Amino acid sequence: MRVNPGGILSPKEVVGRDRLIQKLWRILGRQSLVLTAERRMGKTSIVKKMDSEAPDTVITIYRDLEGIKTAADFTRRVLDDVEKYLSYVGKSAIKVRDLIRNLTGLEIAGVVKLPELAEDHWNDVLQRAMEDLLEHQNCPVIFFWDELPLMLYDIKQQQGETFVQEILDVLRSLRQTHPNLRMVFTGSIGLHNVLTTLKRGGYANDPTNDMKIVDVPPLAQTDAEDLARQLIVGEGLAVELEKTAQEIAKAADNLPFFIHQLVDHFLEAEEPADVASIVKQYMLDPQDPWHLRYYRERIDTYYLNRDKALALELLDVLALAPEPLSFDEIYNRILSQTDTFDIESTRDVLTLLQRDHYIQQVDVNAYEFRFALIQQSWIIHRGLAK
Amino acid sequence: MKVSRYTPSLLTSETLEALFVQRDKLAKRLVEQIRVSALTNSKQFNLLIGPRGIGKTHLISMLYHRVSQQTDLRDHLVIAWLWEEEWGVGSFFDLVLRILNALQAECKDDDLASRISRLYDLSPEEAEQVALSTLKNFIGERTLLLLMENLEVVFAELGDIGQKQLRSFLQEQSCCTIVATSQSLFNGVKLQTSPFYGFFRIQYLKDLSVEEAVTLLKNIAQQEENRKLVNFVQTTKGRSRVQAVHHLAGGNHRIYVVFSEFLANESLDNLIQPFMKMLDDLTPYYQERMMHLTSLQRKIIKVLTRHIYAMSVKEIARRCFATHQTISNQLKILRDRGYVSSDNIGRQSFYELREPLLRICLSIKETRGEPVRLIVDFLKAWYSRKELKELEAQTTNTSESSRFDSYYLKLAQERNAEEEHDPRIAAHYKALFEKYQQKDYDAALYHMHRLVELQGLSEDYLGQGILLDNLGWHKEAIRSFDKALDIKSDDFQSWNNRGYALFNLERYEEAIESWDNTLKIVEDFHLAWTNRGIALRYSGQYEEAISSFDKALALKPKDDSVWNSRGIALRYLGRYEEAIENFDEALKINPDRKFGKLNRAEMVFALNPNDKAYEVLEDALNQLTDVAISNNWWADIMLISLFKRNQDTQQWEFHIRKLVPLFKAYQFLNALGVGLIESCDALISEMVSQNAAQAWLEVWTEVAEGHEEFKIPLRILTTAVHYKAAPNDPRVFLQLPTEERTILKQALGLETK
Repeated sequence: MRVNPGGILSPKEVVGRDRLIQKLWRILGRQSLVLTAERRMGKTSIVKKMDSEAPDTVITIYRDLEGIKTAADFTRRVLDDVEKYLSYVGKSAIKVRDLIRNLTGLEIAGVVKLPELAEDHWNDVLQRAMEDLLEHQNCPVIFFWDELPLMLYDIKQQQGETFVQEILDVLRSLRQTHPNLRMVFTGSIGLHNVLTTLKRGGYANDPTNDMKIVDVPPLAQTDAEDLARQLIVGEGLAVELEKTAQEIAKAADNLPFFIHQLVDHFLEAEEPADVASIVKQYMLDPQDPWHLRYYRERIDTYYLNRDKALALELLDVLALAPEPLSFDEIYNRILSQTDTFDIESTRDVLTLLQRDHYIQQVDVNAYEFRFALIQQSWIIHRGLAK
Repeated sequence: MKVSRYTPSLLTSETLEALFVQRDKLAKRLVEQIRVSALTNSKQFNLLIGPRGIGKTHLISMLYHRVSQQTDLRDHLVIAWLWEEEWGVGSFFDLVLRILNALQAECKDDDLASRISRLYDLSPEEAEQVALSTLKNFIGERTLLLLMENLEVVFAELGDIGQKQLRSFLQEQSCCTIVATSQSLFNGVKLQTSPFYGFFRIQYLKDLSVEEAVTLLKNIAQQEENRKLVNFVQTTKGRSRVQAVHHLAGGNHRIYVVFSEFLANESLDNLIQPFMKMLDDLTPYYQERMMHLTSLQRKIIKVLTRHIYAMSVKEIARRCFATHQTISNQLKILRDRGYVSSDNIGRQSFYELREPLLRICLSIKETRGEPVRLIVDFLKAWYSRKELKELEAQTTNTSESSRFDSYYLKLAQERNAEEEHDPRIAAHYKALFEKYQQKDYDAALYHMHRLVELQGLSEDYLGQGILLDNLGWHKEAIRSFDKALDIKSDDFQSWNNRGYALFNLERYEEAIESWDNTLKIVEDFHLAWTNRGIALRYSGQYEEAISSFDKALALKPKDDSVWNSRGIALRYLGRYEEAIENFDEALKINPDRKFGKLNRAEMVFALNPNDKAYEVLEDALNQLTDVAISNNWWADIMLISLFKRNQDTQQWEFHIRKLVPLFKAYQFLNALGVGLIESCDALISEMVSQNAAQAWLEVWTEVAEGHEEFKIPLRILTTAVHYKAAPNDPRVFLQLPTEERTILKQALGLETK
């Protein structure tokens, strides 16, 4: 296998995800799902692999929703996909055609396009399009909607929150009305941030509470080492195979994106280097090529003012801990720095940090940084090193 | 044929290949990645980063040609090359249109042309939909190779939504591979919040090194059939001119192409005129580069152009009436974009223009009508200090017409003197001494390197060489001393230290030559005579060594180390009595001299191993310190003399049975063990019978076998005796592990140490 850091992988190059994909198919047998993870964890590769290797018993439609600015644009995309599928099976979107004729007086032949006049009725068009698609359908239809949270965020910016609420409501109502309809929303941390904002705005009815939320984990250690090994062999790197593959997988926190990056670095390096010094070089590079400072910057963007300082304190404490810490240990270390924060706020912010993938709970009462890479970068960029 | 300076994209594939330097490995990898993208479902995205003039378009043009020529890709790949000047891509639709037009230009497809033309009859919304489906249909099952120059400009114009639409297109269609260029790493691909975070494989294009620049210039000269330049760049002077361009242009490919026109010009007249013309040509290029900056960034550049040396951030901030933080942030951006370079000394950062030529060109307006300063700046960079001095001497006494030249040259020399006020030099010296005192030689070496770069005085190269030698980088140290000697061939310290570095590499003959050169300059340099003597002794030239020590002693009679060294040389010559006298002299001057007494005792024993000799030996061993014991001293002469004195096994056994416990009592048994190894050489002499050698081995085995310290020496001695019996049998040495084999071969003089 050849190295491809950041590019588009062919489905067979997406390795070590078979167990997760089987789990996702099992969930999709029952309900729709939301797939969340940080950037570059491989969400898109996973859903594209599922789309291309889907069993014959389901119909899958993959769509990347980035760049969509309005609810009507979204409807147009869905309509395109529905039309494309129906024409493929020799049918047409009769209900949508009727609706558009009623709304605009236009008689439509060939491929249905959403005319401007019908844009205000995107909601109806979306529902009819789904009805057209699902009518006479015996098997489940799955829409893989990549980067849906980003689209919602952009629609919110362009048209306001009401539109976002309406889209999510329509989608939920469609899921409830059509037992054969499944949706997979994928996106980075954005979705719950959009929803949180909605909740603050008084939107109490969580529009995804019928969907299973699945977090994309790093690869299992053996799979990560196997990926590193395949890349080293594929690129013909003259290194000690087993040792280097293990070191790369470990340094990359078993994340495929960073495994590709590190192997690529070996290819480019003019002088032999060891994995640890390559990682250190990335960390110290003033250009911050992996943009690991983002995890610091994000605290300012997404956390409420009252929580920011506590979040930083907590992460500072955990960054310096060589072993996982219990809650009491964490709180005591916070107290040794400052008595500003009470125990309940500390618990709340710890939960937030966990939800945002900064930290993980490794045992009943033991917390640590989720990724050693981010921990290392946190220590360097916050100047915590002794 | 003239090589285009600004538009490599117009050059033919052959010319591009002929000029290509430095990046062959990268180009091959990129072509390979494009092939993988064309022939499989895996799609790769590369972003090449480097400042203007670094050769980005050249590389893209080469890729275009190399990929186009791969006939097996023709059914799998279509190429859309968006050139540098693709301004006005305000939306994703605009980009799709540009791609369609580029494909039409590439493929000359009438159907595509008419489809593009019909787009203009549609509403913008419809046109966008149709354009996208036209593009998808045209690509079909193939892969689209998108060559995009100035990606940062295209992304800025596309905006957030446009970038997201592009990414969505790339993800959904999985039919496109991109090789893009950019002047710097920009937020659109760098930030986790940007759609293209981590999407591209980032490749930084490096500056040309002087070596690579020489190759480039040679390639240009060959392309333009300029024989004179081909020959010139290979001369020492040619290389120093290339170095000057390197200084002026900071490794920028384009500037080398420009300079190739007059690089070989010798006379000032032939140099200044083309230089002024070149400034006229280059000024719009540099002005255009300034257009890409914000007003504060331009202000910083302006401040830096008014200074001939680097400035501290504090000073730049003061002159811009801005805060330290603001200026520091802007300077980092300018550095990333290749406008300025930085130098961190201790806690201070200094910045200067990366290409002095930028300063010269931007100063044109300010010095209109008075080009003196520009010429002076140029000459200063073009000629070395020494050359300037020589040229001035030549022009001062000649014709009237050269007075003007002389005037420039004098000014250039004065400017050189001014430059010594570069604030970084003092800062580097300060840091250098601090680090040296803290014994942080690595850090000290960094500052020394920087002083070499900034001033390049012979003293700097000397200092750099000494530090390198101390750190064990002997070969690099020699190169540095050679540089110092290029500048100042009569610097005796450089010759002397060069001798040390060669000595450390055990290149004794060359070391002796270096000290000979030292002594030609300073005849009464006692240390050089001493070192020369030691090198002669190490190379086995004992008589010559003694003469050299005599010279040293004539200059400094009370030097115990020289008396001791002279004694050792006599010891090897078998002149034990004289050796004792020399060791006595050394001990008279310095009674605590390490191994002084032991050296003497060994000689006494070698002369006659009687009871008195044992007393002297025990006294010497008794006075050894722990430090001395951990050092190298071995009793080879003592053992050789014993072996030769009386080839009687009983006598041998008698003495060995006394020596082993004696040395053991003073924890110095290693000295006997190593001595035994070193004395192997004497055994294989033709004068020694096989029986005698065998008997010597047996006695030693009998007496010393039980001691750990003798395990290795006895193995080696056994093999030496076998070797004596069958010197042509290669299996003999295989009895020993590799390390021990090497030790024996060295002891027998079959391999150098």
